Amino acid sequence: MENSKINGKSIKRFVINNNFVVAFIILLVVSALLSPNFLSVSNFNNLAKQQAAALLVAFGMLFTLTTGGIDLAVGANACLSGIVLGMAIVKWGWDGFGGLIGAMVLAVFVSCLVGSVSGVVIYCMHLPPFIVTLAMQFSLRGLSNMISNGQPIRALTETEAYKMLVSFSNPNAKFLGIPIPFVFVLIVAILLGFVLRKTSYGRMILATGSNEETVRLAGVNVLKYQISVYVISGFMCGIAGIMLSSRSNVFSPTAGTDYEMNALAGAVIGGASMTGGSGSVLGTIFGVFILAMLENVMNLMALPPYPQQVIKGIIIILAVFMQVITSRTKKE
Amino acid sequence: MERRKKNNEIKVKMTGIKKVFAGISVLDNVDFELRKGEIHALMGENGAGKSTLMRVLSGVYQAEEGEIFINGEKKNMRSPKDGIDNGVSVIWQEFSLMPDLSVAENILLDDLNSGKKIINWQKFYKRARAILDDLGYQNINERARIGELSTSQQQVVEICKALSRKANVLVLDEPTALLATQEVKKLFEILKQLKEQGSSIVYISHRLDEIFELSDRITVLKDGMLAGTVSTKEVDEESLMLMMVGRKPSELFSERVARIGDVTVKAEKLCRGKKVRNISFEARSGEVLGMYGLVGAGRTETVRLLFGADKKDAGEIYINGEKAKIDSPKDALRYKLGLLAEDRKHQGVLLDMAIRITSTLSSLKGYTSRFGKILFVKEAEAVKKICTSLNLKYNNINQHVSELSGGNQQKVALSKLLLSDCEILLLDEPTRGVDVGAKIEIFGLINQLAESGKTLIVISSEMMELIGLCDRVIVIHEGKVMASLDKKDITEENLIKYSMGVTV
Repeated sequence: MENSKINGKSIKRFVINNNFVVAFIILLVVSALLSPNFLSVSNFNNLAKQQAAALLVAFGMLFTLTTGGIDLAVGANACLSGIVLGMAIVKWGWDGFGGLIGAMVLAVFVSCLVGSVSGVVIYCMHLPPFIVTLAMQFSLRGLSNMISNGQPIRALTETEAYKMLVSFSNPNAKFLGIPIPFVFVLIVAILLGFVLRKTSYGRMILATGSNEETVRLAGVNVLKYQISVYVISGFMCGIAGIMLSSRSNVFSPTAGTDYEMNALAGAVIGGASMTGGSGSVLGTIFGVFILAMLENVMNLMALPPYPQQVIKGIIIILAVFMQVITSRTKKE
Repeated sequence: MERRKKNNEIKVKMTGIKKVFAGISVLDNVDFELRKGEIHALMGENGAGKSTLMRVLSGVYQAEEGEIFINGEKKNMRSPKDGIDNGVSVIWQEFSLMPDLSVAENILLDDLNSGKKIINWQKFYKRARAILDDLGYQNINERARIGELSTSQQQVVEICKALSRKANVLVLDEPTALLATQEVKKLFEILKQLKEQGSSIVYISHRLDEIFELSDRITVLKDGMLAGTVSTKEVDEESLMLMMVGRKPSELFSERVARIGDVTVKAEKLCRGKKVRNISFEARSGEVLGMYGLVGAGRTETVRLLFGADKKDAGEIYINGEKAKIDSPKDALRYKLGLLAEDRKHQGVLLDMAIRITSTLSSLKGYTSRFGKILFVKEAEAVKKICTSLNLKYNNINQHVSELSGGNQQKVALSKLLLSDCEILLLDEPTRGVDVGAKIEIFGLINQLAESGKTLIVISSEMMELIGLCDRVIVIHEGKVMASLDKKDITEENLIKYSMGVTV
């Protein structure tokens, strides 16, 4: 956190605390060996662009995990955000730069609202987060389908707002050589990482996850922290939904499917505990990329889809196992 | 009257036991001997090695050096099963019962079906019933779920479990910590009965009165080494303390000039369910007010009401003369109250986080910039300063609280209160599970705080503590205040009398 010298002992401690880096490197090397196309700029560029939305969703999941909660509705929430965006731009005709901004604000607002509903239901009605957000997931999918009539919302005429939205995902849309969506994710990651590690808010959400009662008896308003992480998650999903629509050029009610599982696995591989009290933004990034690289190299090797899923499951178990083993070593 | 049987026959002999953890010797060349038909007390500060020694005896740990003889035969204890097979049974403070299974199933856990393939339930319950009746516990139902029994009844089940395993060496670790006075008496009766029948009992405890009543011999460990083994009849409290810690009891409490001021906190007719029934009391600045009572009398519950940790059904709280609305710990903090919770591991500290995080939990605002960023340097200074003043033994403020000893963990919990600048401190069993050295420091701290004008309310089950520390003591019995004792009236006799509900 503060001052630390770099020597053999601290390197060892770094490796134990950040074993996702080790896993990442191992996977990198193995992938490069398994497929010659893996180590190419274009492959990595693609990988980075694809993971932008997934990363944001994973950050949202990370924050809900820190307090000991979980948000299984993140994928569905992102989807709803995309649908709301589509409704505004395509069906209600919000146009121009102002229209686009307005539509995006609305979409993110709805996602935040959804997040706050989850948070309030969980912590004011004292219900388990797993069940509540699972139920949310079903409801939100249903809602998305209801609004869009079960079909992707397509822009029949390409309005200015629409064109602007899609242009964000243009391969040439770069800022200092990095694709715009990824620049955005980088900024968010730095911000969230700072909040988690260096601010009182970040400390309190981790403390709440570590032991809610101790924090409560210390005079802290735990409810505030427990609910707000769901709003943050909602916010992340809102933006993720916008990105997904931008990339796929449609506003689909099936967007974000299975995103919650990848987000959860990524966050946990990156050090988050399902009981709360730990986790890091950097770790989550590595975790998400480990899963993405895995899928990527399996695709390059032309492995059929079903064996891919089996292998993915095995790798997740191995990665989490390594995670748990090293945290036990930390305790001794 | 002791019967002279084969009183000198040695049941267990441990010689030269050495146990090392992470490079530190927690036991070093310890000898321990247990006779047949003996109650042998094992004493020492927290961390002296008592539990470790018993874990070595029962096979949970393997010693690096040393030998164990049972009935004269050398034994290799490689696992808990070896311990059980050799007749050694340990009843730990936390119990190892299965709350959802029945009493009988817990008692006969090792031998559910007498070697056959299918359990004969009729015979099964009969066997358990016989063991319970043998000890005189006709009122414990062998079919009842463990979770429904009281703590003392669960303890009886543990003893039955040990007996069903044909244990003739019984080890009890702090058995009376959670028992009420009558239950303690019954336990003693059972132990004496078992002793008469030839069992050997190791009794680990901090409570001198119990040790003097029960034991034949006492072994004292200090810092992992044998300080000595003495016959109970030939030793007194002072010499025991000297063996344990190198200090006499009179040196435990420092002098304090009581400068008692105005009433700072007043509780009026507090009620909550059946636990707190119309409790009223007041405390002043510069005063140490004690709260005594049996386990479950309602002291913790009362203090929690004061702190807003639980919602009160009725009653008022006045702070410095003004009516106070305290509905949550956050409110309490605003009125400058602080709570040192009874269960420090789950309510007092964050075990898996850095010391500094627990220390500044109530006062983080003071170390945060306007934008929410934590001012780490300022925080570190404050935390180090308070830890030094508390004489907290730590490596660095970023290490996890779980790595500290019990006494030091308690100091971390205390640092949280001190940094929050509270004026009225509510301390619930502040020295429970704390070694004597740290106890003395905590007593000194309490006196210091009182001298500086703070108000302290101390809940304690150790009469000696209350007698030595408090200006006044209120005694609680079944949710009601039985008496308010001024300093001269704080005696063991009065404390016991009122805690049991006697009103004269």
